[in-house]
Formats: sequence, structure tokens, C-alpha cells
Amino acid sequence: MNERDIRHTHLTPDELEAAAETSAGLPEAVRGHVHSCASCAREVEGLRRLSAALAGLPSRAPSPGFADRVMARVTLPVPWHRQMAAAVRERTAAGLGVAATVAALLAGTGLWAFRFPDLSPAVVAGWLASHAGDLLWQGAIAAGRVAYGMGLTDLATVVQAEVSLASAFAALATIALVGVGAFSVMIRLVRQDPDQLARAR
Amino acid sequence: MSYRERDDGELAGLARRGDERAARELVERFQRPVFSIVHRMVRDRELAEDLTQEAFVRTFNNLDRYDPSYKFSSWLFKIAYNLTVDHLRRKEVPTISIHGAPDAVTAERQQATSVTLESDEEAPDARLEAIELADELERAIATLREDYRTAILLRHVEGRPYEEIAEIMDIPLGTVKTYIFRARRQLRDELADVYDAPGE
Repeated sequence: MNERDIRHTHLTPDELEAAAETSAGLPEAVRGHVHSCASCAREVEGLRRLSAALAGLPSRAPSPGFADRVMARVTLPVPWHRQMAAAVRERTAAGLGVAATVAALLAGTGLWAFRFPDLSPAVVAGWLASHAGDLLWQGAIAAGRVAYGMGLTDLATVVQAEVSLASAFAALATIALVGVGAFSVMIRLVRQDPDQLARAR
Repeated sequence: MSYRERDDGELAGLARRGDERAARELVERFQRPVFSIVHRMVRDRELAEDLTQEAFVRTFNNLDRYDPSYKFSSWLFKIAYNLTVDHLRRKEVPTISIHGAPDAVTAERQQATSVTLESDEEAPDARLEAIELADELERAIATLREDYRTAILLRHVEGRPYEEIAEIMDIPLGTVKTYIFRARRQLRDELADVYDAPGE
């Protein structure tokens, strides 16, 4: 509170309020003025009564069960470690399912193999290895035929002639970035809780 | 340390990390003061409960936007105040209503919207006068402009400092003091006979 000459003026609203709240810590000039000025003394007393009456008004309570009703509508943020734990639990369940399926396939294959006692594991493995190579080679030839039939080899020749290597790399990098960004947005949308999305709107 | 012993900031921090018990403790801690202010603003118990509930829900559902450098109570009261003022402005509720809202056509509705003091205590003669005086004060408060009413209720009923009121109402500190000064002056004029306080 700034010191000023209040001998010939009345107290400011701030000074009146300070005087109404407490006399301790009041500047001597203010305290002296309250004692000597009947008008300001009445103002201070009136303020005290009003403040006391307002402070005495009772607080009001909502109806019973209010907190339950509020909490039923509240969605608190889920911490990142709980989100990860939930994701791991989901993946664990899926992983267990895959493992059970593979185990069932292996068991079934084992049972089938036992019906043919002449087939040893080494013979089966060798057969798979030799035939897998043939299948891969024939798959590559088929893919080449399909590409030729679609005109992709001609397209590759045109691109090589018309577009520089740097431009091609830049274009591919841009497409890759856009693709990754769009993919991550899609993943976030898919993982978002629909109820939480509705509440946030 | 139990939840009751933790301060508001700690509880808000726990609630931001998904702790429902912390959030519930905050609801139980602030339901009365927030409801009191809102009820005195709208003077309709059912409406006040709806608005108060909505204030709490919005506060907790947007906890990720809460800035811990501010008091949690300021943020909560600010949301409640904005909701209440928006409602009052949409409905154009008059500030003066002596015996219930103007649109109260049934006795039940009149009761719900009239400004009366609720007291759970038995009132011996000595207390009855105090209750009647407080009733007059409640009715006088109802005649104030909504911003004057909010400012003086926050200051004198809820005991909030001026700086916090300025944050809640999103107005300068000087404006808060002006509102409270004018509200007090108006109340004292309204209650001059009751409190024997001089007018201007």
C-alpha cells in the first residue's frame, strides 16, 4: 500500500478492505484515519459485517452419488506403459494362438510321417530342399512372364531413357515417405478407442 | 500417504497418469464449492447439478491440456464458470428473481428456483433471525449482475484470492477489484435496513 497523505481525503477501496480484514500490519496513517474519520469507520464496519455474512453462507451439496455419476463419464488418460502392457498382452494371446496352430500342424505332420515308416526325417528334408529350389525357380520365371505380358519391361526401358537416376530415387523416396506417413495415421486411427474419439468431439 | 492428505496438484498429476482414485478424491473435494457457486448463479438445483457434473467431466477428460503451473482449482472453477455463463447467456436468465424463476409455473418448480437458505439444523429462535438475514443476503446476491455475483462469491464465500479470481474469470486484476467493490456497494444498498450499513 503506497504511503500518501490521507489527512484530507478518505480511504481508497483497497485501504478500506485491508482495514476491514485486519488491523495488524496496517500503516499507522490508515489506522489513525479510521479512528478519526466517522465516515470511513462506518465503511470499514459495514464491510466487516458484509464479509462476515457472506463468509457465513452455507456451501451447498449436490445430490448423493454425484461423484459416481461424474466418474462414470470420465475417461482418464492411459499411461504409455499401460498401453504397452495391453499391446503385449494382445500380442501374447495372438502369439500363443499361432504357436498352438504351428504345434498342431507339426503334430499332424509327425503323425502322417509315422504312417510311412520308410520315410526318414533326412529323406523328407532332402525332398523339401530339392523341390523348394525348383518351385522358387519356376516362380521367378512366372513372375518375369507376367511382367513382360503387362509391359513392365518396356516401361522400365522408357523410364531409364527419360528419367535420371537421381530423379527416380527422389520420386521413390517421396512416395515411400508419404506411404509410411499415411500408414502410421491409419494405424493410429484403427487403434483409437471409438468412445474416446466420440467424447473428444 | 492417503489420497485425502495429498494436495490438489499431486492428485491432478496422479489423475493425469490414469489414477481413478485420485480423480474421485478431487471430485469429492470440490463438488460442494463448485456446486455452491453454480447453484447460486443459476438458482435451479437440477440444472446446477448438470452444469457441475459437466464441468468435472470436461476437466478430467481434458487433463492432457491442464498446465500444472496453474492451480487445479482455478482450472476447474474456470471451466465451471464458462459453462454457467454460456448457459445464462443462451437462456437470457434475468438476474432479478425474488420468489423463483419467472417461468416457474408449478409450486415444485418455484421451490427449486427460489432463493432460500438451506439449513440442516433445527433453528431455535436465536438462530431463526440469522437464517432470515442470510436469506435476505441470498436474495440480494441473486440481483447482482452475473460477473459481479461470480466475483463476490469466489472472493467472500469461497475465499479465493484476487489473482485466482482473475485467472478463473479471465479478466484483469483491476477489473476483479472493481466488480467486487461494486457488488459490495450494491449489496450494502440492498441490505441497508437489514444490516444497518450506510449507503452512499
